[in-house]
Amino acid sequence: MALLEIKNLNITYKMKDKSVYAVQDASLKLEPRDAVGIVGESGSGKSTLAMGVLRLLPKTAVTEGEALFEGRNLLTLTPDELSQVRWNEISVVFQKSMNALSPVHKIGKQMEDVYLIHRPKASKTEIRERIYELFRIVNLSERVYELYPHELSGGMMQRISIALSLILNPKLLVLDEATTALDVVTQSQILREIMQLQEQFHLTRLMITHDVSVVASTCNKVVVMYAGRIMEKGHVEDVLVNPKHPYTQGLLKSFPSFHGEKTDLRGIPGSLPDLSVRPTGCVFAPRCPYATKECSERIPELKETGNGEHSWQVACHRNGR
Amino acid sequence: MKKKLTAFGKELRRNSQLRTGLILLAILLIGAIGAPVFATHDPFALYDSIRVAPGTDGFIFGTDALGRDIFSQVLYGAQTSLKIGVIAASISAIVGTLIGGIAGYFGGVVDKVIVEFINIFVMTPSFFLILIIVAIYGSDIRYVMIVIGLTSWPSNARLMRAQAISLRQRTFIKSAQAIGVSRLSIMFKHIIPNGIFPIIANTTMQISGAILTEAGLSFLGLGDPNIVSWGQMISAGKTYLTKAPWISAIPGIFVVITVLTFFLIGEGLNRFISPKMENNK
Amino acid sequence: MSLEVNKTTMEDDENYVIQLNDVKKWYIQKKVQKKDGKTERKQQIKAVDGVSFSLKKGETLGVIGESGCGKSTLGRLLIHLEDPTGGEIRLFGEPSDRLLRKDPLKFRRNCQMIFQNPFDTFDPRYTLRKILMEPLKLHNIGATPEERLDLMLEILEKSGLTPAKDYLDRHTHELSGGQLQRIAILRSMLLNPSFVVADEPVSMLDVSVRADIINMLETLVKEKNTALVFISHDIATTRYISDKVAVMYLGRIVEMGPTDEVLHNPQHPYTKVLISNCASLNPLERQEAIEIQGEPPTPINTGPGCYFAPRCYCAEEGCSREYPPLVDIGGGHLVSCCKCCGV
Repeated sequence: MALLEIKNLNITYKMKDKSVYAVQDASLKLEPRDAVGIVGESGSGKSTLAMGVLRLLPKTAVTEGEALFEGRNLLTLTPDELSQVRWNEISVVFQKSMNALSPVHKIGKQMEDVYLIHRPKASKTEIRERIYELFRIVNLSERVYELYPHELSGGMMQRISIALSLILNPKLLVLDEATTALDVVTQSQILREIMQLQEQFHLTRLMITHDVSVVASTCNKVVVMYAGRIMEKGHVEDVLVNPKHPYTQGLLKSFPSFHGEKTDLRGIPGSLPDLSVRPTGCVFAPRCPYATKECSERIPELKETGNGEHSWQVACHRNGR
Repeated sequence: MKKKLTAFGKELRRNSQLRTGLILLAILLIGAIGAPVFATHDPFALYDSIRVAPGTDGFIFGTDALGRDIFSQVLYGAQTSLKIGVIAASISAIVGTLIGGIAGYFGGVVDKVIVEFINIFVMTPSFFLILIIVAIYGSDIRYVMIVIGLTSWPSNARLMRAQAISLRQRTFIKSAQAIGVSRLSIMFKHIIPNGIFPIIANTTMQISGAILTEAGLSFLGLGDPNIVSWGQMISAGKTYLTKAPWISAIPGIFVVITVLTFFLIGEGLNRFISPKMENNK
Repeated sequence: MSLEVNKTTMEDDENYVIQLNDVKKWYIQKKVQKKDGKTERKQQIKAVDGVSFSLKKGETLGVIGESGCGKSTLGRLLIHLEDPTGGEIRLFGEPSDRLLRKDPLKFRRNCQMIFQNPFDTFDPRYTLRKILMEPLKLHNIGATPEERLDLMLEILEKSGLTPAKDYLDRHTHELSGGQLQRIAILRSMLLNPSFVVADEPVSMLDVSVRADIINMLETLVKEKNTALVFISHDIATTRYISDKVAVMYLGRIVEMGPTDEVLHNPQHPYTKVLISNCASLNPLERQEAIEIQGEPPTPINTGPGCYFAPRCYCAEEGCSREYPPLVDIGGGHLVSCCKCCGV
């Protein structure tokens, strides 16, 4: 059984004078021990999708569809049940998780508090043991226990955030741009650590990022989103090596390559469509070099492409032609 | 411009403080400007009906101990109070903005010197300073306005300094500098216009302060004897508080209303501009 | 600090648009709480600590490094948004601080900067008309109002805003980051500068619009034969646009030379670390990253010795004795490492 299965998820921000269709008809499956990366540019709905599943969006956002976590629909759980699932089974690390820490209390004290909320009967030594263990896991020295948040560097703070998210042994770890603000070297250090953690604790991981190279190097599956819709999804070795969707192709061409010849760098002309207008056809059609009449009339569905082991899904009318 | 007006209109519908304040201000302004029209009597003339209660003999608010019509005096007094409030607060705003802007934007030694200078002003008890000045130079209303203005600028200067310090870090200021705009014109073209909103709000509240200060001075008998002012009226009525309370009470109520008006506008503006301008777009 | 660089500058001053000689920027931080609980009165933060290079017309130098390595400070020093604590910056052979004092407008016109955050590059209260008019008026470009209007419309059109007339009275918050950055670049290039600093010009933009901005910048710079300093943390982008690359660590250039020479044949251990940690887009070529210890340090009380030595994977005893000089190892490839120069 899939650990998390999202079925036909729609998220709409209802505002006074208009509705913004942030995520439309998104379906995806996370098998246990998967590492799935959702990539997309700003406005693609990648964060909204994940936050919608965890019900962390403001009240103006209306979420429809299903999000089954081990068979239970997260979208219909009562607040009590939901708080049991969150952090216990699913935990999230944000880009600026460190902002959640109070600047006037020591790191260790704050971590103790988190542990006590979820395990009220834990003894003092048990908590301390657990926190030291977590520090070891994320390569921090025990000294950090006595430090204040402002004394830590960005990388250390993000390590604390990851340690905090692991405090209750969750099954699913959601990383929302968790390493984006970090330097290259620190980012790759932390990514390596996360991958080791995944092995060690049999975690399932959902990474949300705009950086394709992060997904390429740390995930086994990728979901490409654009303007609220899933364009292409499958194994990274397929989607990122042999992209079928013109958007994925364009996105990959927009990155300058580090090796080989300096090929022409090409962006995708045009800009993101207005998300408050429901498209009649493919959302990417206005910027797509191959767009035909059909593209603006009918919304393409996600269909299988490739064959056998190497098969994945693409939402494009050109697929199979 | 049109957009700004509609945004302001929207704000008015939502922001009851600002709305009430502006309505009250409109009434006060009409009364003050139209004083010669609305006044039923000459405010300086002494009538035979002394200490007449409000409503008798055609004196709407009654008369004072010398037989002057209180209603007409209140109308002319509004002119004085508004004039003093607006001019004194404007002086405070201009001085404060310039000094604060220079300190915040130029920084360094200039900033340090100005901050100390501001601190000196903050520490000086301004009311006594005003008393001394009035004692030395006489109680001409012009001096009173200038002195009130020149003693109340530090709060504006502090606000502007904080604004300038945060604006200085913004890219568009660096960008203007890189394009070649001189520092002085950056201050006038970019720093001050972008940081002025809190000062406008503060200045409106300072109008109340200035009106109160003038009323206080007049109450102590240090007001300009050549003009009608609410403070003087209150002062004149204090001996008759038990026998004819309206002589002091009516101008007193108007002082309260006026102070409240500007306070409401100031608070309303504060709400309008913070926490974020963007929320109104 | 580097004799080689000095020698060449003496010979052909005129050929170089900009020359830096041991430029330093130290900030003084008062009262710092140290990790061990002691407070120290004054500390020097050496944001830029002795940088030398020179750039010819039409050349592009990419400066790469992690945050806190002083690359942005260097950018601001180059166009005198801040004054250096020590060293000398020369523009066409003349000290730039003297040029700035003599004729500030001319200096500003000659040296332009493109900033990281396009959403904050323009005064939010201004309309595009006012934004574009500012430099035209200041530098007396365009004789008549009509001519100026044409210039402004041209910029808007090139930024992809059509019909341009409709955009003149819009505010910046109605535009996208890509459009704003294009306007910023075109506005700067309108002044015909001989030297431009671009400080992370695309790091805040979406990937799909980055390419166009980079291409536009490159075309303009080549067209007008402008020298460009391209500051970035993104090695691949820097490789795409630069002729030369300088790698900075804690305020110093540790390696510099022709782009492909430095990036594909890195000599300094830090450059090697940086490059090996750059993830590839292709999941099939997952490369082994060199792992290093520790956090990126802050440039407080650095030295003696090589600043990178405490984290270096091949540091030796000698590394912490003296800061290694920047030495040419052939073909203009400069490296500052004890091991490479064989000290």
